[in-house]
Amino acid sequence: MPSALQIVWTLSIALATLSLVSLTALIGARIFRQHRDKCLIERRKHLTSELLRYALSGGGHPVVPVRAQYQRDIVTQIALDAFSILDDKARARITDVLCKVSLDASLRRAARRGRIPRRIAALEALRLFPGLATRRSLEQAQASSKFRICLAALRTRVELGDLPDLVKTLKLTQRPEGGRSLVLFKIVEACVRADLPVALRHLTPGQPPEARIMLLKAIGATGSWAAFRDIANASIDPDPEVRAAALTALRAMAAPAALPIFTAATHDPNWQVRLKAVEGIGQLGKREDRASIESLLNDPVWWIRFRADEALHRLDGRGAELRLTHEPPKSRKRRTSTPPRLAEAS
Amino acid sequence: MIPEILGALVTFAHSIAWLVIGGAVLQNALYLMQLIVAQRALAEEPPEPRSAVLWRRSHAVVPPITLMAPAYNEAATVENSVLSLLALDYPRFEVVVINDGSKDETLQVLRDRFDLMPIERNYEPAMVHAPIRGIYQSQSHDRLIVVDKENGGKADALNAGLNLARSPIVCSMDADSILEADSLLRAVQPFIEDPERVVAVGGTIRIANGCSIKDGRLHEVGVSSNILALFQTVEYLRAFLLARLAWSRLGVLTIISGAFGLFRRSALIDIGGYAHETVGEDMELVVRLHRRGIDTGQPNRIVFLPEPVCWTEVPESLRILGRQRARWHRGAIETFARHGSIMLQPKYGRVGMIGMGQVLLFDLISPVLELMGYILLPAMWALGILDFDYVLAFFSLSVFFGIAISVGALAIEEAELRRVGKLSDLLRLATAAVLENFGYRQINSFWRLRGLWEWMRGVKSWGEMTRKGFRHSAPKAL
Repeated sequence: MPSALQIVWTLSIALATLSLVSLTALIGARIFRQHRDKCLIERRKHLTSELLRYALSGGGHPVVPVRAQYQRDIVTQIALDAFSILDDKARARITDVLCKVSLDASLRRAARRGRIPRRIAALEALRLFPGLATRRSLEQAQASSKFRICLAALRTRVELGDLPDLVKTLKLTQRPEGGRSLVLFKIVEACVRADLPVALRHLTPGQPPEARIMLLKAIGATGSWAAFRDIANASIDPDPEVRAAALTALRAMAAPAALPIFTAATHDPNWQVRLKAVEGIGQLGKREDRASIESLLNDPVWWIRFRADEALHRLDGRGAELRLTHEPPKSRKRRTSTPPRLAEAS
Repeated sequence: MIPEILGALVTFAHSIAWLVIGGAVLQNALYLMQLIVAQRALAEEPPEPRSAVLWRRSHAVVPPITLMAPAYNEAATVENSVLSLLALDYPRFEVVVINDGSKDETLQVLRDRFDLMPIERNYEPAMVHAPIRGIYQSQSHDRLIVVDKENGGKADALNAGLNLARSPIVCSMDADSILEADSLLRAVQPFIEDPERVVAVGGTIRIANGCSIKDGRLHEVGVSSNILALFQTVEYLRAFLLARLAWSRLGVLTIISGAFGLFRRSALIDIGGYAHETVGEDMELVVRLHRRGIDTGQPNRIVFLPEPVCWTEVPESLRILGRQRARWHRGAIETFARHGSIMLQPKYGRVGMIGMGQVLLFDLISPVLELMGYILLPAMWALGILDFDYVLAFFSLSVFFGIAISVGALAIEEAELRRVGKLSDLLRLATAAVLENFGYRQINSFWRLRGLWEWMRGVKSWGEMTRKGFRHSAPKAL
């Protein structure tokens, strides 16, 4: 019966041997791969020119290898890269030839199972194959519990012009990662641009705040003044984040009628709402609106003082001469350089 | 009487031996767990190999980033480092270099190379820091801002950078490091995917000694011919690919390297920025972020990603390396001294128990036990009061298990990331992964013990780090 100490050193030596064996195997694999990669570069060049020639002229059906996974990956990459420089006719030819070697079916399978990054890549590549089967695959992926998979599917649907249902998309804001997802916002924005009346119908207080915030910003980004009244109503919502989003939307719409709303919001108890208000006045206001901004130069929040100064600077070029901070004179700084490109609140 | 004393000595020797071996078993079991978790993490979610794909996916939605690069006596490397920062592939960023009262020509090099002009820039005085002497903007690169301030240490410089930053995300880094062109685009992904919870993202630090750098960009990956740099390359693989990836996966990551980390600016301001009175400000900051999140009932996500890579020069002399390691270790102990109490508070959950527990084990207990094992166990065997089996068990744990873990880290690197370009480099690293367990690891334990001793004596200094500059680090022919 081996003692505990014997087990310890035997196990240690066995593990060390095992790790060395695995590394030796990986080194062997590396030698094989290096040889394969050298051939692959040539193969890739050849395949790219073959596919492009076929896409542009239609002559001579190219031989597309898709047996091994790495071959499928390379063909997909070449096709995706080529799509960005080809017209619809040439794209259709490439899609046609890739369908003949069942790359679409292979991608649909890859989209259903396996590692998440591979599934995402497959979902993105499905944009090469517009059609009912792809749509079904994307809808299926959209129902996935993995948020990144959902987003990839939705993104591809947007790229294919097959916009997803706004209500279902907004439900994703209720997932832990969804409320402020910048990627989801772009998808919602695309849906809203396509059908503004539907978006406005869903801008009701019954919607969760995360969904309303996303909707408000997306509606604002359309720049359509038809949405003005709905957004103005949201600017007096009890939820400060909704109010701030409404002001962001009004600013994006650039509707002069929003000025009184911005002016009223300069007295909001929430600093983020005041910040949006001062940014809005700075963008849309006139000299007469100076007074509402000047009061904010004494705001306890630095960002509001900073934006107020910027806004005054924009309105009549005199902002920089006004008092900027509450700091002791020694550490007080005055900005005379160009306005910043970057902003905390952006 | 003598047999009784001898009996007591034998019992004492056995107790010490079991303590040392038990500590080593626990430590190695954790290493093995890290290896398994890291391997699974990389196998499940390998990094996206093509940055063009990331760009296509996210260029339209990425938030702006301010890169904060504190520089102290970096005249040899600062030009290339800043050039590499300005050449990053990221749609919206600015670079704020903070000259922390350098005694060399750092500011002059920047002035001459980047055509700096003094400006006045309004900034939020959210953090306290040493006085700023001047703020400059480059006339040739409008993304570049240089802040010249009085010396106050790295944390102080970063706090000044935090004040001047105007982006929601800030990136803290060392001015002597080189970021890969797509590193920001990769590191920002968690902020895009989960903007509500992610407050910090760390990337991998790799060793630039032996690599070829041209115009501030990594031209060719290589490994150094210096044996110390080789050992450190393996060590960094272990630390980043195993430990940090595993702890991040378990949600208990307690450190993001000061050489490269992205943070939500508002979160850093909420916790009061970088702590001045510690040399382990990077670790202390992350622990405070965890604490703040749990205290306010909004747990933060702190993420480590293996693929955004920052390249840095490491010491090639034992003296400087020893000083650096003792300082790092001192920093970890200082953090434990400040926040170790959260281990005993159930509300901190895994962060307290595992996160701080591993600091206690790896940084406080293990160096003491390891050195006891290296010195006392052979001595007690030589005196005849301990069986050879104990010595063999300890050394096999220390050396063979060590080889298994180091080679395992290299195997994961080769299987999933494949950053080592040449086969010959891989073979050299494999050799280093074996050899480092015969001497280097033991010296490391001594340095860590020195760090503990310095902490007990209340040493606060950073020591000096001499840099050669990347220009001289072209790969040598084998």
